[in-house]
Amino acid sequence: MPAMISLYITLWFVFLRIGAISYGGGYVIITYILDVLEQYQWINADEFGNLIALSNITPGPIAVNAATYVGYRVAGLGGSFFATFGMFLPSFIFISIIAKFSHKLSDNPYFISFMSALKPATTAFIASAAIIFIQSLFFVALNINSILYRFDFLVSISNYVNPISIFIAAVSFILLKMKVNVLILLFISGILGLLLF
Amino acid sequence: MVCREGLLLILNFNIKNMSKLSLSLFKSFFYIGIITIGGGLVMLPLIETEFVSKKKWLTKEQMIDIFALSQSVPGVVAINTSLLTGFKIAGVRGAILAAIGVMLPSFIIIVLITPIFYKIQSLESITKAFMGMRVAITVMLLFTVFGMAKNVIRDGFTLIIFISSLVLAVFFNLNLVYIILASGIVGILSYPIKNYFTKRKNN
Repeated sequence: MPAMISLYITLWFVFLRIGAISYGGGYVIITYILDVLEQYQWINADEFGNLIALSNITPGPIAVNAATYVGYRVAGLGGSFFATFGMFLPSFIFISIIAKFSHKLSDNPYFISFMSALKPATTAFIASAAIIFIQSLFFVALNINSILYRFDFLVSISNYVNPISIFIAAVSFILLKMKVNVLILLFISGILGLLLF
Repeated sequence: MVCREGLLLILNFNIKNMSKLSLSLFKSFFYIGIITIGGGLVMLPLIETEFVSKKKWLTKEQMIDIFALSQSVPGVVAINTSLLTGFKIAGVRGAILAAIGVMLPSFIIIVLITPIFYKIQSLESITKAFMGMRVAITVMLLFTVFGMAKNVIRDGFTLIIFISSLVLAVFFNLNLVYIILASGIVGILSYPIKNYFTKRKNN
C-alpha cells in the first residue's frame, strides 16, 4: 500500500508540474508529458502516440484525456484521479489570482515580455515532439508482409525511410490543407495504415 | 445497498448546499465536455454560445476577455476557461464545479476505454491503424509548429529562443522545465535591456 501511495503522489506532482508550466494548448502539454514519460519510463513513445490519436477521437480536452490515461496505466483509477487533479490545481491557483488582478497583470510590461519569451520556447517543444514521432514512424523497416514489398524500388527506398509513412504524411498534408475535420483525417489515415503497413 | 444509500445521501446533501447557479454551470460544462472532440480551442465557440447567446449570463466582451486571459496563463485552456467563467458567474464554488464538469466526461470515458484499449492495441491490425493515425498526428504537429512560428517568431530575439530551445530539447535532451524557466527569465531580463538601448538611441 505505501508503494501505491508514493506512486499516487509522484503522479500528482508530475502532472502538477506539467500544469504549472504548460502554456498554449493541448499539443504543448503533450510534449511535456512525452518528456516526463522518457524520464519515468512509464509508457513508451509508440503507446503515447496511440494515446494522442485516442485523445483526438474521444470527447474532452486532449490534456485531460492524456493525464487520465497515463494515470490509469501507471496506477489504476486512483492514478487517473491524482494525475487529473494535479493538472487541475495550478490552473485553479493561477485563475484565482488572475480573477482578482486580471487587468493589472496583462498590462504589466514584465509579464508581457516574460510571455513573449515563453511562446517561441513552447513552439520549439512541439517541434521536438514531432521529431520524436518522425524518428519512430519514418525510419522503421518496411513490413515483409506489406503489399509494397513486391515493388523493388520501394524496398530500396525503405532502406532509408518507410515509403508508407511518407505516403500517409502526404495524404494528411493535403487533407489538412483542405481544412478537413480532424476526425475524418484520423479515420482516413487509420484506414490507410491498416491497409498498407 | 447501504453503500448505495450512503452515496445518494452524500449526493443529495451536496446538491442541497450548492446554489442553483453553480449546478447549472456544472451541467453546461459537462455537456460541453461531452460534445467537443479534440482540443480545448474547439470548446471556445460552444462556451460562447452557451453563456452569451443562450443563457445571457455574460456579454460578448466579457467572454472575449475570459478567452484571452485563460490562454495567457499556464494550464489546460479548457480548464482555465471553465474556471474563469465559473468565477465570473458564481464565485469559487461555481469555478470548481464548472471545471469538474468540463473534466468529468473525459475522465469517465478514458477510464472506461483504457483497459480495453491497452489490450487491443497490441493486435496487429490495430497497431497498423494507429501507426497510420500517428503519421497524421505528426503532420498535424508540424502544421501547429508552422502556424505558431509565423505568429510567434517576429524578431532575432524570439528566433534565438526558438532555436536554442529546440537544440537543448532535441540534442541535449534537457528537461523541458529548465528550458521554459530559463527562457522566462531571459524574457523578463529582455525588457529593461531593450528599454536601456532604446533610451540610449533616443538620447
